[in-house]
Amino acid sequence: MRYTVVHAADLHLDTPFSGLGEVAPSIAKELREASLTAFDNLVQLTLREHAAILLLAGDIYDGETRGIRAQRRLLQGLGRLREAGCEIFIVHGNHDPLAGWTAISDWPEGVHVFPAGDVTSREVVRSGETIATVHGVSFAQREERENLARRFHRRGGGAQFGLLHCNVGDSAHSPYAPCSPEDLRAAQLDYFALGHVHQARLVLEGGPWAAYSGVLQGRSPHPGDAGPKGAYVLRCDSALGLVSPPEFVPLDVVRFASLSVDLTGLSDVAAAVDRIEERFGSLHAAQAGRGLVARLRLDGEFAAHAELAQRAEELVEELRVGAQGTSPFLWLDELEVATKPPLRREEIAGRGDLLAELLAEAARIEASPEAARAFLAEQAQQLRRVETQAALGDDVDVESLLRQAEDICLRLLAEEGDAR
Amino acid sequence: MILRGWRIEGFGRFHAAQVDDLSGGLTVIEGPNEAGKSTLLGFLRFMLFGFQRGDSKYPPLEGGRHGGRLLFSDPQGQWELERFQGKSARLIAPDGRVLEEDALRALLGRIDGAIFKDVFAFSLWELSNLEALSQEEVRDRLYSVGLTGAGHSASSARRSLEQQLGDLLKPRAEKARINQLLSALGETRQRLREAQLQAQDYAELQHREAEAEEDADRLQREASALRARREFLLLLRSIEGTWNRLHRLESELGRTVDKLDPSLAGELQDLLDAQKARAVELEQRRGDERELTAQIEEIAPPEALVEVAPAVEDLVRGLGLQEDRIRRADEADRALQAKRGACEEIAAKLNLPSGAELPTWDFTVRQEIDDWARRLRESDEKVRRLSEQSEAALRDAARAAEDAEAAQAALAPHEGVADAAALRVRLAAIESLQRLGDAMQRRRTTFLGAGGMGVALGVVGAIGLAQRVSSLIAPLAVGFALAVYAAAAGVRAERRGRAACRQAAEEGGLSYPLPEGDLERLRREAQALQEGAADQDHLRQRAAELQAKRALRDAEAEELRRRLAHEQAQSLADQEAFGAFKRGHGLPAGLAPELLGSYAAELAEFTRTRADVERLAAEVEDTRRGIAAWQTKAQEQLRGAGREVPADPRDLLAAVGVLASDVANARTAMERAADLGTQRDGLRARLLGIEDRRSDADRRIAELLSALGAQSASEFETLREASQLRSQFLDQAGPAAGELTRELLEGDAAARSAEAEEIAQRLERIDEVEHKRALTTLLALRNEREQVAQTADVAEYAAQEERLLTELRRAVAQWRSVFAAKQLLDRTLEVYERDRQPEVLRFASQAIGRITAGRYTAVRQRSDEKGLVAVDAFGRQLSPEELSRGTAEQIYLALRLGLAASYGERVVTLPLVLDDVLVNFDPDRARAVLSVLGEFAAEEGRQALLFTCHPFVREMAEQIQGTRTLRLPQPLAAGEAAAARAPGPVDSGEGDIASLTLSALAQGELALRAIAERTGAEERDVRKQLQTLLQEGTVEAVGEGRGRRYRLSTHEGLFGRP
Repeated sequence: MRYTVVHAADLHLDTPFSGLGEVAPSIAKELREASLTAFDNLVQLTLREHAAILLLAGDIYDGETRGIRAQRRLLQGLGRLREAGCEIFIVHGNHDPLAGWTAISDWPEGVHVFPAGDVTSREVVRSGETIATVHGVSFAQREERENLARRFHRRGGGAQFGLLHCNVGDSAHSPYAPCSPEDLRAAQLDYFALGHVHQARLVLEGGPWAAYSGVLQGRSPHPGDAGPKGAYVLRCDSALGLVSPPEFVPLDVVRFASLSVDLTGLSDVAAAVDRIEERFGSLHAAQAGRGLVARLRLDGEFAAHAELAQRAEELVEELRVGAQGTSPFLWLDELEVATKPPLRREEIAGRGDLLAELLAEAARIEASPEAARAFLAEQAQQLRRVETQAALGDDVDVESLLRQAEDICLRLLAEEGDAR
Repeated sequence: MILRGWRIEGFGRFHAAQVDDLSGGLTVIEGPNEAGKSTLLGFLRFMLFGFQRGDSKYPPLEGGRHGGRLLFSDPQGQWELERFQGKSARLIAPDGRVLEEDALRALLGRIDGAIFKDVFAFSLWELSNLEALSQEEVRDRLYSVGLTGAGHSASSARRSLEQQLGDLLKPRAEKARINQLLSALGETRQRLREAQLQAQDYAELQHREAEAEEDADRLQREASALRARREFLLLLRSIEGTWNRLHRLESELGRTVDKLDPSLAGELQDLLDAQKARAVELEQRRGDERELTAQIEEIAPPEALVEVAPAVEDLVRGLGLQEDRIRRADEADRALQAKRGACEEIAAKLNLPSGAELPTWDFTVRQEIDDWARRLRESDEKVRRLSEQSEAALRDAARAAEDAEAAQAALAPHEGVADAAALRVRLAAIESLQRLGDAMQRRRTTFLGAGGMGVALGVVGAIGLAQRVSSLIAPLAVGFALAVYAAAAGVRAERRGRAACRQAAEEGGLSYPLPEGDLERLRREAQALQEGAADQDHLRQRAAELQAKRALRDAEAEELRRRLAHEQAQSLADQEAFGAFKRGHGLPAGLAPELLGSYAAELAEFTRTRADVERLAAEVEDTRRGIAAWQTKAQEQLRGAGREVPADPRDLLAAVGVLASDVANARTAMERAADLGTQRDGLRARLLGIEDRRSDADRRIAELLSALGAQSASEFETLREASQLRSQFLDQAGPAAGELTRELLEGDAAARSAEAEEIAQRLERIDEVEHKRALTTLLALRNEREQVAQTADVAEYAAQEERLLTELRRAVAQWRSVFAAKQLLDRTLEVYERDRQPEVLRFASQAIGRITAGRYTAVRQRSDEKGLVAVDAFGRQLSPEELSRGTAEQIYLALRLGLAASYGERVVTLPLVLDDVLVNFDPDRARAVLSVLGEFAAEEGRQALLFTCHPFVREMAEQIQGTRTLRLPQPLAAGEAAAARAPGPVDSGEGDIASLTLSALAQGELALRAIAERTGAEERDVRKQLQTLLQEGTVEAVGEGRGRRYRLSTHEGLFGRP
């Protein structure tokens, strides 16, 4: 029998976006709803595809506190799927291990939550035929260090699906339930629906298949969370397993993007604003009806560098006002002015004046680790109170800090005539 | 840079003032008060930097454009600077290029105007003012001169950075960005914790809600059970009497029913049931039998039809044949008619008399006809051919006649032309003449001049012209000409030639001499005539030939005509012979031999057609007979069946068809009736059987009824039904009925009433109290849970926390950058000062040592690095506040010299301009200062201009080697001063007023008005300034009210004090 399966993971329902500064209230509301709207999109997709099975591979909520709103929304969505006859299989991951409390006292019939410990299996029967067997295991606690993949084996009728939250040899992610592609292959299943890694990708191709569907909605402006997010749709046959490669369907409602604009050759800030707005507009148009949170970096050799650096905040405000009212929304999160004045540092260094002395001093600090430590220690002394409270702990790059400091000094001390 | 001079167009009191002989080294410029020393200082500053904030503008009081020119030199050469108020400066370079402000600034090492004023071109006020500045600015000015290459000072940059840092983070400030964010973060985290705790309660609430729900459900279930029990009790009370009676009756019934023997009753019942079935079957079978009888009667056919049936069936067998016969008879009739028509047509065509004997044909006749045909054809062919040949011959004869006549006609124009032989002779003569002529010509050319030949030609021409009338005499003229030629050439030869010519002419039938030039024409004419004669011969010959041909053609035509007539006669004879043959063989006279073939075919066709007609007539006859025989039989049968007999054969056919159909139907009906009769017989036999069995059963039923004690079958059935109902009732309601019976018969009615009462009370309690309470609890818990779900918005606070953390990180990153910038700037300044300061202080220390004659030995940075100290000979360190005014000023002057020297070394050497700065110095120190100044300025490329109003200063300076002096003109007249003072917007700076006031007071005690007049400032400004000076003790007042006068209070710095 032919049927459709949908695979999603890392829903992180009702999770706040991280690394994002203050936003306009209307946009804050949309961002707040984004993970839940993406989940609604997943439900819609599953209904539209008349999928027989929905596989959710862990991290459905974020953190052990598991927002009530998220759980209620999840329950509503699953209820709709049950009415349509879809069977839902869930495992818990490191963000929502079984040990956490839950606002869901009873799962609806047809929603199967795999327990921790041994892998358990459940058959899916349609019109008297076993069309699939789903095997799965949940995390008992956040730090699951066992290789859970090795517990999976082919058994039961129909196509064989494994449901697992794990890390398949990816050093960039937390090493929970670590395993290798060979472990997955050894289980001899038709498809491993994996969770944990936020970028969608195929881990094994052909027979067997294994894939991370990635998060349902990007969660921060960091590069790993950029690009389309969604779920895989699998076309299956009870005897043959997958009949075509998994098909990725984007379901996210907000996208993050970093934009670099080179201002080389422009004469003034107004021209820069025009160029930025043009680039901004085309980036926004490329998001196919989704809200966009963008980070902007301005670089290149720019005649009005000093003015730009001085008016950076004003410029952010101007660009935000310019984007106001666009639907779907467009929000500039951060502006980095990395342009260079046409004045060369080497030229200044050769002048023998205070600025030359200043650049030489910066070079001295940079060259000596001891001097750099002392330089930073002075800052740390001042920031002690703030650090304690905000647990910032960011590594400070002395080199870039010194470049910024030089830049500020040049701006304050160099005369307009020097910048030309 | 060395100032070489200036040209002031209009500046304060200066108008068209010019100096152009300045040089390097120290120059003392002396001028009394109001001579314009301060104005000149202002002019120099204005020229180099334009007006700075707070500068006096010195509008031109004596007219002229506001501004002027400054001349100076540097290693590159002579420069000229032009500046007028409100206009940009123009700098004329040594090479003549005109440069702008920026070039000027570069030339000045990009020094700031304020710093120039502080270090290089200062008045007494600026000198002493330095003391009052904040320590930081002192440091800034002293060590950071030229640090930034002009533009913003390092200290303003520091201030800006500190301001930014303060905006971001301050230890106890609420408005700093980071402080605000930290505070908001704290609050958000508190709310988040609370929300998380609340969310934890959710599960507990959920559990309690489930319990409460179960509680309410349990109460509801209990109430339902109680209600049911109460209803039962009430029911019991209401049916008690009825039930007892019913129970009694049932018992009685049981007893009666129980007496029935089940096997007999069963048999009886079976028999009764079988009898009922039999009765039904009998009724049904009888009905069937009646129906069969009716059917048989209904389908019986009439007698008459039955009788004629075999004959009719026989007829019907011939029916098809009859129809065929009728159809064939008609067709044969039509064919017969057609054949007959055709027969008659052919006979008419062949012109055969009806009934006549037809011609007979054999091969020989056919052969003969063919021969006839060939003969006639050949004869015709021959006649036709001859006829054509004859016509062609006639045409040829006619054409030959035409040709002969045309040849004759062509010959006619040539009649009368000389004959060809005569022409040939003439032509020969002409050719001889030509040859002779040529020979004579050659001779004549040899012996005669051109004139002679011209005369000869003229004569010949004249003769030729006269004789041109006839072509025949023309050759004579030629001959004559040639004779003339011969005569002229040589008598003998000429004569011989002429004789030959004459002879030739005569031979040719020409007259001689011939006219000149006609010889060629005559030759051409003779040739043409010769050719014409040849043509004529040819034509004549051709005409004769054609005439002969014509005669031949005529003969041929005649011959053909004769042969044709013969052949035509022969053909006619053949025709007549063939006509006789046709008549002999009975053939139509007009019949052509070639038509004889088709005639024979038509004749054969006629014979065949006539045979067909006879065969067809016989066939028709035969058919008609067959038809009539069948019709007779049909009529008989129709009559036999009592049917109408139609006259028309076709109607008869139809009637027989109908009759046949009826007969066939009758046949089928008879067969069907026979079948039904068989069925009816079987049915009747079965009926008899059933009736027998019924009788047997009736007997057995009577026996059984009697045995069971029932009067009738119906009575037995009532009993049996009662028994069945009772069993059914006991099966279905047995237990309940038993219970009811037990409750009612055995139970206690009073106890039941008490129970009902108790139940009512319990129900009331449940409904009114317990269930309501349970529901209220449930509702409250549900509300509470919903409330928690709504308010415990962990995600919202978590999002807020994330946002605040991001903002905080950004703000801290910004703070780090700004702080790093400040760190960097501070360190740089530190290094800069560390490196520069010793140099400046060393210079200043040496200078102060010389100025104070060793009383002070050094100028140093204070140990706390906040300001300067002077070190005296005893090693004591004194801050400027602890020194006398004059000494402090000397220290500042020494520092300025150090700075100027340092700037000169590092950047560019600029001239020093000092306006009456020695006022507060005693003569010794003034002299020492002048000496130091002289030495300073004496160095290569340096220059110092010292303005003074004191002649003794000039005198002192004159004693120093290399010093130049200069005198400014006397001050303006009183009226001019008033004019200068009154109208103009004299924007006299505070500094200027102070220094002017002090300068004025240096001359002695003065009233306020006098001071104001001397300074050129407003009284109120001077008064204000005096108050400051009084407070700081620089000036003291003498007297009160209107007579109040002021004087300098210092003793050390007064020159020439009375």
